[in-house]
Amino acid sequence: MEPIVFDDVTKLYKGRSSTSQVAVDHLRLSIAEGNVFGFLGPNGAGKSTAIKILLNLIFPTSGQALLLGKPAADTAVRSRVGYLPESPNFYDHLTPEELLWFGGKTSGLRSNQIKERTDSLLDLVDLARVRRQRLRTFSKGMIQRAGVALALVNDPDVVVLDEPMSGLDPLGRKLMADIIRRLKHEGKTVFFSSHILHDVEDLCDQVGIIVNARLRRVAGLADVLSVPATGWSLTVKATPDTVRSHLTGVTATHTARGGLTEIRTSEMDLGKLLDRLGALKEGLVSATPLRPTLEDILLQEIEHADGESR
Amino acid sequence: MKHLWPIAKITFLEGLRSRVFFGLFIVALLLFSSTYTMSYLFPHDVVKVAVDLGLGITSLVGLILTLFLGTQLLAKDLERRTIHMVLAKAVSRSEYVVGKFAGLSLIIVCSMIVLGGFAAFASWTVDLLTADQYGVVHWPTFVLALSMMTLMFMLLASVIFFFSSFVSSTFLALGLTLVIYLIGQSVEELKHFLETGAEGVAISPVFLKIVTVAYYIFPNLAAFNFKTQAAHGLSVSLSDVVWPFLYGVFYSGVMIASAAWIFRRREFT
Repeated sequence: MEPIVFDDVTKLYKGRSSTSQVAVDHLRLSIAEGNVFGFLGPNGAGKSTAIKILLNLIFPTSGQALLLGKPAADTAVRSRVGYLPESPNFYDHLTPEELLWFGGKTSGLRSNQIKERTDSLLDLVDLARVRRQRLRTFSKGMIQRAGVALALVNDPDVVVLDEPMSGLDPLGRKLMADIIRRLKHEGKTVFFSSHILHDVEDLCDQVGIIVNARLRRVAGLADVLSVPATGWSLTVKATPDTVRSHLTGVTATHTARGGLTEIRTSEMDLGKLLDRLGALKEGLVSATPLRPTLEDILLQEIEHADGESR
Repeated sequence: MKHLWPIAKITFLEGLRSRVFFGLFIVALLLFSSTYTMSYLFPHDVVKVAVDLGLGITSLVGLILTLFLGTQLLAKDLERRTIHMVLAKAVSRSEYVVGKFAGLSLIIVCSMIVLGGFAAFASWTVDLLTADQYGVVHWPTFVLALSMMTLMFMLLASVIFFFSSFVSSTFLALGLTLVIYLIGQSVEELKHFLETGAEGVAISPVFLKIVTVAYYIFPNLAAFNFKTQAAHGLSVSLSDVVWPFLYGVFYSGVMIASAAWIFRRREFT
């Protein structure tokens, strides 16, 4: 049984006139148990709408979303789900301890379980020393961390994170990435949307790209990224003038980067280039194959979608 | 309905920790202290005036508290999307509405105990300092008046919840509830006047019908007013208490059930 299923989900918003705006268009998606799934797309693509349908905050116009095999409208199933909203707002009159007590109680946990989970989670998100301080005094990053603790207080099987990295400093992002890795290690299913593609590349097993309300591609991250190199990027410790003198007869471009020079060439010309650069070999800093990144793939999908809508 | 307590508790804490709550209590303290000077302006009815003033101040502060906290508690959750965090847990929408109402009711009950305590203290000290011929405090009716006032505010809170369940603006919910309060305070008197006391005045049957319909639709808040009986020590029959009590519970129940029904159909974008 897949823990998360979108079964042909469509969401239409009625406009002022008789027109309707499609927020999610026939979304069919299943996420396997223990997978970390990255849900990508530009702003307004339908990511948050899909997540809200999954949590029964809004209702699909047609189709249905299933969580752990139960319809999203089933209240009880949410005791096995953790959710971190985008830019979370919690009751700021509460302390982290009270917030987790609330989360635990509403998930059916006993008081001793809540105490245990609160201690370990506040340590995990580095809020133990401010456990009795009201949330209204917290920074955005601290609120986000309190939100993560709240999402995990019930030790959920499924964790849904809506833009968990947005607005976090590098340390906060690292902490969040570590938590997602830990969840994966524990066999939890994680569904998260993000704009920060580096994090997606780093953490996900599978990605889905949604553009203009339609899911354009779902693939394992390895499949997406393990395409043959289209060229090579070499960085050498030499001035552009020195490099230029070695490039006669080779199809390559070069750019100055600080005291270094980056040279780009095709797969075919790599051998020839390395021969020519023989004299500079000691100055070779790096050689990297050029492959489409997740960002390139996302941009490609956006362009396709734009082309279709024209 | 097993998650009512956590929702009620955080709602209660929210009310208790809000600035409005403390501000109003400071104002209430100042108003209660004025009871001493105001009462002695009426030397023959000192105690009656003290009781009347004390209950009047309790009623005024209780009303402001109910209106402001009632509209804020739900509207803030919707505006700031805090509701997402609650509904993403294993909490049904009906539990959310009933839990919030229970929390607000708890705030109202506690506030009325404290405000009523202030009023009782002021009345008691005036009574202590005054000869019995200028009146005594009739404690059973005093407590009854406070209890029925509390029930009335809970009813009003349920009306606020009903409006907040479908109105998106806090001010609109506040305005509508205020209108209901004003109608509710006077509709019984108006109906009575039109039926009996308008001698020589031609009353349109349509108007009378409208007032009669309004009498049954809007909450009859005057039925909860026992301030006069408390001040004058008038006797109150059991039916004068039981019927308004049952009416208050039933009316609040209908309002909260309607709010929960609307919430179950509402989307939280």
